Order: sequence, then structure tokens, then C-alpha cells
Amino acid sequence: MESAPTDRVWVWPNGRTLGLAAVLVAMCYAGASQSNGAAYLLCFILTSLAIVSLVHAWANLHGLGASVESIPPVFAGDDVSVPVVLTARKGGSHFGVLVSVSDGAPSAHEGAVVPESPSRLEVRFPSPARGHYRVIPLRITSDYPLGFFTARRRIKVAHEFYVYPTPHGDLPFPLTVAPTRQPRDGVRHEGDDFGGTRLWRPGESQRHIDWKAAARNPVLLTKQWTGETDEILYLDWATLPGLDTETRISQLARWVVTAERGFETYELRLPGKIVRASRGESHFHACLRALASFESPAAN
Amino acid sequence: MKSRIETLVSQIGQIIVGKEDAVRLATACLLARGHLLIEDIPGVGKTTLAHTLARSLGLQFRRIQFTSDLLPADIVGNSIFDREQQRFIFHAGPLFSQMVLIDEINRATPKTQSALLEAMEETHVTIDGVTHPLPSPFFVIATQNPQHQIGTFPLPESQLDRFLMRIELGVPGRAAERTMLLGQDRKIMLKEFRPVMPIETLTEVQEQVRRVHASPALLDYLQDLLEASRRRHRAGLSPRAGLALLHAAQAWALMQGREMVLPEDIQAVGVAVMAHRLGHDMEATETSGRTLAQNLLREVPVP
Amino acid sequence: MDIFRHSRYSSNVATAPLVGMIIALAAAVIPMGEKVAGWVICGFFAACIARLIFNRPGARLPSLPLKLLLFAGSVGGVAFNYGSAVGIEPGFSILVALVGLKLIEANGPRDFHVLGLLAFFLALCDLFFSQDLLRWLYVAIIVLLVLATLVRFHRGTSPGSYSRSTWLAMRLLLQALPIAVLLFLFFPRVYGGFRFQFSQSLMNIGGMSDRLSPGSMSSIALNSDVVFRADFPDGNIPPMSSMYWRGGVLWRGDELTWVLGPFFSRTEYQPAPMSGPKIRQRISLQPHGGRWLFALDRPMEMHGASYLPGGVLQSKRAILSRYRYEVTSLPEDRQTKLPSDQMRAALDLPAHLSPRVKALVASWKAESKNPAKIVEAALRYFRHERFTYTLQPGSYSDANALDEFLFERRQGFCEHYAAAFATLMRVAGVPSRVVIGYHAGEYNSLGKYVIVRQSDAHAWCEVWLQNVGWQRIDPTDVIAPDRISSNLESYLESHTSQSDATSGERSLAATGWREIQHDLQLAWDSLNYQWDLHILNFDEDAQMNFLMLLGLGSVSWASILIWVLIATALFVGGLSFFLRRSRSTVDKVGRGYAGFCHALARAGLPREPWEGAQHFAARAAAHFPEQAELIGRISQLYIELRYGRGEASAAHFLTAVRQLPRFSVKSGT
Repeated sequence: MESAPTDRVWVWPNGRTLGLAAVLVAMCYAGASQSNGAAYLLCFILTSLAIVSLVHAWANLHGLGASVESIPPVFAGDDVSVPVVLTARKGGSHFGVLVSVSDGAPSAHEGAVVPESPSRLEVRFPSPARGHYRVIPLRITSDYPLGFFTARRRIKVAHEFYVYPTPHGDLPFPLTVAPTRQPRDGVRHEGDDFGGTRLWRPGESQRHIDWKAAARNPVLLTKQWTGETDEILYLDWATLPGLDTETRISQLARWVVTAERGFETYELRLPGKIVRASRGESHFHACLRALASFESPAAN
Repeated sequence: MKSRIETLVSQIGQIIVGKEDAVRLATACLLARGHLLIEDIPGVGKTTLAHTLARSLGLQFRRIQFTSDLLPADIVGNSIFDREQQRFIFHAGPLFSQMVLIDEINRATPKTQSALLEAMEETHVTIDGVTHPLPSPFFVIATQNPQHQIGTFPLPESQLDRFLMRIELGVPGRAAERTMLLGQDRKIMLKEFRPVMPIETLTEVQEQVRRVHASPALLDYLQDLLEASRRRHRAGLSPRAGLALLHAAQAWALMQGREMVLPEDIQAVGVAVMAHRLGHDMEATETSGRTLAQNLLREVPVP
Repeated sequence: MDIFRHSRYSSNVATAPLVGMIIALAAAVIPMGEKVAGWVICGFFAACIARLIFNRPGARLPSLPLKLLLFAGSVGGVAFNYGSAVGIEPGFSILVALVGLKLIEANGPRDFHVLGLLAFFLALCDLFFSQDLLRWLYVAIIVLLVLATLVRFHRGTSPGSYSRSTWLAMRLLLQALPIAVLLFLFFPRVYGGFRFQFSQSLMNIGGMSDRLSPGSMSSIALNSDVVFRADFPDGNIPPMSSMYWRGGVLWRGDELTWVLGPFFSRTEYQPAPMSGPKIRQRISLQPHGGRWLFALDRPMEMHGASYLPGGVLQSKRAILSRYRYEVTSLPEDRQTKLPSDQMRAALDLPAHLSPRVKALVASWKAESKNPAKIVEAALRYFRHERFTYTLQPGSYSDANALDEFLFERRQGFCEHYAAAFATLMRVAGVPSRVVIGYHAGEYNSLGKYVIVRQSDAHAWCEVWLQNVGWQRIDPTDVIAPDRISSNLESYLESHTSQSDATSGERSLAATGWREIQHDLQLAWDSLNYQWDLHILNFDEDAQMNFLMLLGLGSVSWASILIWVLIATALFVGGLSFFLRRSRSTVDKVGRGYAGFCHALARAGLPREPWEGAQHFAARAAAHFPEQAELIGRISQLYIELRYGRGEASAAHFLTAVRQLPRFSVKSGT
């Protein structure tokens, strides 16, 4: 967990402050050179307006609550989308609030945050390196009320999310396919109930390929019938020697994705971590999480 | 009162080694008059936990193994025509026990599941127009294998809501496992157990749980949690879930010997109460209900 | 920003703030209309309308080449119009044209802000043309409009109604006032020493010239612009009919046209002795572009002004901004000896005189050689020979104007009579000169001061009588005595019914209403005068006087500025406290606990937002073992108050919180 959140509102001048200063100097100069008391008065009123707007800018972000809702995991290279919830302090509203994840990143804009209903907005930012992250640094800014000053606030929200490794690599599936059970008679029970499909592997009869599905999907699938052997696909770190870590991780991620798409039962084996054979949504994510946090380069 | 509950927890702890949190949660669930769902792989002690609880409280205990060919009548019982008396006589099923352990609830057909869950909710069974009340107290512990297997029927969301808590036991730690390996046979130990809390006392405690004070500030926090869950998930926590959370937290507070509920109590039972209620949103967010519940507790500020 | 997703040629500014900004800009341009070429103004308003059309969905903003073309066209057009692109009027024309172009181009938050700043700048320019209260209020409304527009703009995607933004803008203005007043009073003023000064062409100056010719007075007689306001600090106010505000003395006359005349060498000139009750006046002079400093007949010498031989004051520089001065006048001239060069100048005759004029003067001289008698005879002539006093005397030919006036048309305004009379006197050998200035004015009983307007412009005559000195002779008094006892406006009103048929439809019923209107006008003028006195005239000297009054006369500017800064900082602190408080309605207990958490956070142990009090207390106690007891007590009390059945006492909790020591950061970990 990170250290204490730096949750203070700072008000900074911006480009428009300079513009205003130029106009104020012009007014003051006009007041002096034309001995124009009215110009002086205008100048002083605008000056103090700027000062007062600074206080208002500060107060606008003061007490604004920000939290993050569950962040869906992404593959490295995609945008992380962070659902942010802004809540107003009791009895106050906040206007023109801009939220971004870090400096320079695109931000999401929210008009007004009022006490009764928290506002939700989605901030997207390019995903960092794969890994398991626990803190989202949010940057909240607002130019309200006059725009001559920018109030800024940084909040570190404790929230975990995963950046999965990019699935990459075109090595064939490892051939370590171990049957869990021996087929009862060693013969396929063709003509029995259709039991779904799984990934077609080279060497299998092309008659079993689900050609209709092949038209929709780039991967070839083999039709299966119940009673067929239930096989486990072992996706093992050890079968990829001679490659660097990231390439291996990417290749494993590619296999996981392909295996899941092919309705396979698969098991992921990493040094020190084994995700037991299974399939389905939660298993898929468990594998990718394991890959994401394996020797993660992200220090977060 | 606290000491009674502590005795109960420690006695169970003798058998279920190294699982104090799970034991406490299960106890709290019982005290809050809720039903418990245990989701874990076989062999981690689900059955033993249920058995121990029943033993320690002196409850009548039955175990039903759910299978795909199990019919509703097999659990609730059926009416059989008695030739001698010339009328139908109701033969109560195994459900008519104070504590029922349902093994692998997701193996049974939805029809059987719904019969069970209906009985849990109503605390009575209606057969052929005759209503048969279930015993009191009535406590169901159901177990479920988390992995998707062929031939299982995952519980529909509306029915998951009927369970007050869902807990996971998990593989015991190394030290705890060693204790188990070296120790006495659990089954023999269990036979030697004496009830530490008579049924009357249990009922009394259950009454007391409902009287634990929940202040407006706490209810604010509770509602904040509910609202936050509704904001961020397609189907957030239902009002029933809110009630469940409150009751569980009350039970937890009482177990801590407190007469008022603190946000900490809600946080202690939060994951167990909320995870399975949020979990069905899995396709949408691709995160387990457990993580969702943890995040929720992390993000909603305590007022 | 999502709502401003940039596409270059389609509009990215919401319509509502844009409309507000366009209204503000247009309002700021309108007062500049007189000094800006007409076609530029038209172009500007066309740009306003065009920009609104561009803001409709699907419309496209003009492309870069078109904008460049427009820019070159407008600058070139202005240069062609004025013959130069440099100078006041071309400058303002180009400014307005550029604002119009910027408006067309404005396409995003940054441009929108530039427009706001331009509106402020245009508002400043408006103040160059006039500074009276009305104009200032007009400018203030423009500023308020710009503020409201900016607020609305920054409210983002859900701006709410315009009135909410306006309300906030007004609150901002109100909150800004204290600092503005502080700065106004204490910010050091420096005047003068600047190269950059607008010439008189900027101000609406149509006042007295240094030359008197037929029609020069009547041309400004209907101009109700204020020339100056005067109050009398000693309270002795002379009667209205004898209030002759002396401006310039004209020595050289040619029939009906009189000009300043010769420059007398300074050595020969000595101020004339005078007597009579002293009349002290404080005069706030509006800029008139000339150098005359008006004062009641006959002013004494004044610091900072030259005293001319005709007994008039002249500023050393042209009066281009309001000028306030104090002058003392003495009504009686006791000059006994006229320097020879002045005598010569006062008798200098025009080159050609008609025989008829000579004959007329000869007839008077035949009666008596005494200058006083000749004056009487001349006045008698004007009284009996059916001369009429009129605003429309028609034009007189240059060549034989005097003859035509005296014997044929006999219609004239004050300048005709004064010029003719002075010329006649010179023909008769009586030294004379023409004085131009103002007569009377309007007494504002509310503010106890006299307002003198251009319509009060007047010309009269002075003759030199041996042993008496310069004697004021006002021939207008003889021809139209009511004109002298009342002001021109009422004189014209009472005489139009017979002489002028065009305004005869004024009914008597309207008179009552007109009186109320008049009273209101006086009240407004009084306000304006106060504005003038206290705001516009708050210059270097006034500021010094103010500081002396506070006893700060000897304090250095640096320390005064530091105090101003401190006061501003205090105000800002107070305001932020107020704003924060008004936003939070946390109860006392909550605030007390927040203070507790804050103290711990400062010591390096912040409470996580989701953390309950008990959990936090355990963590804090572990972190600060020395204070564990206190932390436990405070937390326990808070928990009881918050979550218990209300048996705990809030007072106990608050006392405990107040006892809170500073948490020292545990060393080592």
C-alpha cells in the first residue's frame, strides 16, 4: 500500500492568468497616464476579483470525494478504463471538474457534482506494463469559476487492477496433452450426442472440423461427441526454453487466449505457481492474472 | 454471553484447525438465523465443520448428498397412501432436521434446488395443500464445488441471495495441516463432543442479535455501501442483501461482546455476505465477486 | 476534454455562453462608435451575427485563407479610410475589427477566454471616452456580464440557468469589493511623466475656442455638457446674475470677429489691484482641450497657472483630463493705470469701418466726450433700436458684418452684441476688450454647488474708464434682461411661445412632470459630482491627504503595500474559511473527530477513508504507544457517540479532543 495520500488542493496560475495580468497592467497604465480614476477602479476591481476567484477555485475542489470502481483487466497495449465516482461534500456542489489519471493523459469531464447524486465518469489511459497494480493516482483539476486559476488536486486511490500481458507469439501448442481418463474402448463415439467443440490440432481428421464455425472464426474447431476423452492441455513455462521472460509470458498468454476460445481444458504452469486445470471465464482470468503478476516488472 | 459464544468457537476450533475466521463467520451466520453456503474443493473439511457445529449446539443433524436424479420429494418428503388408515400420511424427508448439510448443491436439478430454497425461505413445506412447519432452529449448510463441471446446475442468482453468507475454507496452513495429521481422528473427536449451548440459549442469543444497536451513522454507512454497489454493477445489492448485511454485522458485533454495530463489523462480514451476491455480475466485469466486495469495502468511506 | 473535442473548423463553444460573450462585446463596442469608422462597426455586428450562425450544428467556421483575407481587408480598409493605420481613430477601428475577427475565429476554451479578456480591454477603452458615473456603471454591467459568461462557461456540461451564474458573478463582485477598496485607497498613484497621452480628439470636446466670431457661441448654446462644477467652501455664494465665469480675454477685434490678440511682454505686466469680499471657489473642470481655467470675475493669482494681462488664468498645459483647482476671486477692480501697450491694444481699430458706423459713433460723441456717457449712449442705442436676441441670427458676411448687424438685420446672440459693442467703443476712443466665459449656471441645492454647462457660454465686454478701471459692460443685459437673470434654457422656454412655433405644443400639464424630472436630474448630477470628487479625483495629492488624515503621512510606500498584502491575505483566509464552512455541515462531534484524524495524519498516520474508528485507533495506538491511552479514550468516546445509543456525552469527547497533544513521529520506524 502506498504512503499517505497527498490530498491537498493547490491553485495554480495558467496561461489565462498571464492574459489577465496583461490586461490589468494595461488598465493600471491607462489609469496612471490618463490620470483616469475610473480605469484605476476597474483595474483594482478586476484584480481583487481574480484573488477572490482563486479562493473560489480552491473551495470548488475542497471536499470533493473521488473513488474508483472496479477496473476491468486489460491486455497491455489497450486502454485501461477507470470508472471514477465523484461525490460532493454535504451541502456543496462542485463544477467543471476534470479527472485524469496522470499528467498529460486524456481526461474525462464532469459538469457538476451535486450532493444528492454522485457522478460517474470514465477515465481512459494507455495501460502501463503488465502487472498487478494497487493504486490509481488521480489528478483532479477545475478552472471554475472564472478560469483565471486552475485548482489541482492529486488523490491516490487504493484500487487494484491487472494489466494482462499482450498475447503474442505463434509457436504451436505444446504436445504435452495428457488424457485424464483412458477412453473406455479407445474408439470415438461418433454419432452420439454432440458435446461441443474444441481446438483442432494438426493430425486430426478433417472430417470432424466444424466448418460452419470456421467460416465465422479464424480458429479451426473440432466437433466433439460425449464420451470422448477429456484431455488437459498443459501450458508450461518449461516448454519455452531459450526465450526471454516477456516473450515467454506473451506466448503463454496467447495460448491461454486460444485455448479458452477453443473450449479446451487447460492448466497453466509457471515456476512457483500452478493454476489447476479447468476452463471457463474465471479460470481464464485466474491464468492471466498469474501471468500478469509473474515476475512483474511493475514496481507498483 | 460472549464467553458462551467464545466457548462454542473454541470447541469448533479444536476440530477445524487453523480456520478461525471461517468458523467465526459460520457461527455468526447461525446466530443471525441465516443459511450458509460453503464453496470449496472437496476434502477441506466442509462436512466436518457442519457436523461440528451441529454437535456443539446439540442440533439434530442430517446430511443430503445432492445428485442429478434427486427429486424434490426425496428431500422434503411425500405423502403415501396408508391402506390401514385409508388416508395419505406424510412422511417427512431429511429436510426436517434442525441442521441440514447439503453436499454439492449444484448437482441437483433446478427443480430440486428451488424446492429446497423455497423451504429455506418459508421455513415450512407445503405438500398436497398441507403445510408442514420445519423444525426450529433451522439451519442449512450447503456446499458447492467452485469449478465448472459438466452436469452441474449453477444456482440462479435469485437463489444465491437466500444464503446469508458464502464462505471458503481453503487449504489449511502448513502448521494447521501438521496438527491435523498428528492429531486424533476427527470423527472420533466429534463423537466425544458435548453440546456447549442448549437450544433455548441459542434461540435467546438469536433474539439478542436482532436487538444489537445500529445507529443512524452506521445505517448511513450501510446504505452508502448498497448505493455504491448499485451504482457500479448492473444489479447491485438488493434490499434483502442490505438486511442480511445488517443481521450478520449484528451477530458479529454480539460475538465481539458489543451492544452496538460498528463499521468494522460490517467490514468483517462484508465479503462473506456480499461476494456471492455480486459474483453473478461476473461476465460484465470479469472479476470475481470476492474482489468486487473487497473493492466496495475499500472504496466506500466511513462517514 | 470531451465537450471540446477539437475539430478545426466546427464550433466547439456552447451557444449560451457564446451569446453572453457576444452581447458583452457588442455592448463594449457601442460607446466607441463615434471614434470608429462606421463600416468597421457594421462589420463587427455582422461578425457577431455570423458567429452565432456558425454555432449551429453542421455549420463550418471560416477557413484560414478567408480569415487572412478579412484581416488584410480590414486593416487596409482602415488605413485607406483614415489615410494612415496609426493614430487614435485608426487604432480603435483596427481594434474593433480585430475583435470581430477573433470572434469569428473563436473556437474553443482558449479563444473564449481571449474574448473575455478583449471584452475587459474594450471596457477599459470605453472609459477613455467618458468617465462619468453613468459610463462607469455601464462598464460595470459589461464586466458583470463577462463574469457571468465565464462562470457559466466553466460550469461545464451541466451549467444550469444563466441566473445562477449571474448570481455567483455578483457574489464574486461583492466579495471582491473589500480588496478593491483597499487597493484603491492605498495603491500608490503616479501621475504624469508618461509619454502616452491621448490628444483631445478622444474626448467629446466642443467647448470654448480662443476666437469669437458670429455663431461661435450659439453653436454650443444647446449643448448641455458639463464644463465644470464649482462649490464655495466659505459658503458665500454670489447672486446668480453676477456670476461671470471668466475664461479668456480677446484684445484684437475686427468688426464681429475677435481673437486673442498680442502677447504682452511679461515684464510690463503687474497684477491689477483688486478689492471686495473674497470669494473662494473649488472648481472641477472637465477636460476641454484648451488651457483656460475658469473662475469668477476677477480671479487672483493661482499656484500652477499663468496669470494673463486680461486678468485670466491659464493652465500651462492643455486640459486633457479632469482638473480640480481652488481659486479666490475679488469682485472689484481697482486698477488705475493701464500699461501703454495694453492701452494701445485696447484701442486698436479694424482697418475698414463703414461710414455709417462712424457717423453713429460721432453722433454719440457729439452729445458728450465723457467715456461713461458714451457707454450709456451706446447701451441706449441697443435698447431702443429694436435689436432681437435670438439663437438663430443667421449668418453675416465677413466683409461688412458690423454694418449689417447694426443697421439691417439687428438679430444676434451674445457674441454679436459683445463684439459690436467693443468695436463701437474703440471707434469712440474708449479702450475696450471682449471677455469670453460662462455666465451663471445652475445651482444644485442638493450638493450645494453650481453646475456650469456649455449652454451657459457667454461673451461680454469690458471698457476702460479712467479712475475706475476696467468696467464690465454686458450689452446682452440690455437687450434681453431676463437672459441674464435666468439661464438660457428657461429664457428660451419663456420666449419660444411667441417667437418659435415649432415647440409650441408643450402643454402646461407637462410642466409638473418636467419639474420632477429636473429634480431627479439634479440629484443624479449631485451623485456624479460626488463620484467625480471622490473617485475620479483621488489622485496622488488626494491620496497623500488621505494618508495624512490617517496619520500615515510619513510611512513608506513599501510598508503600506506590505500592510495591504497582509490585509488581503487575511481577507483571503477568512473567505476560504467561510467558503469551506458554508459547504460542510458536519456536526461538532464529526469535526472533533476530523481534527483528531488530522492531527494523526500530520504525524504521519492518516486514516484511510474506509477505515472505521476502532480499526484506526488500534493502528494509531500501535504507532504511538505513548499516547495509546488517549487515542483509545478519544476513539472509544467517538464510537459511543456515533454508534451507541446516545448515552455518551459529547462534551467529554470534545474536551478529550482539545487535550490532544502533538503526536510525535515515532523514531526509527
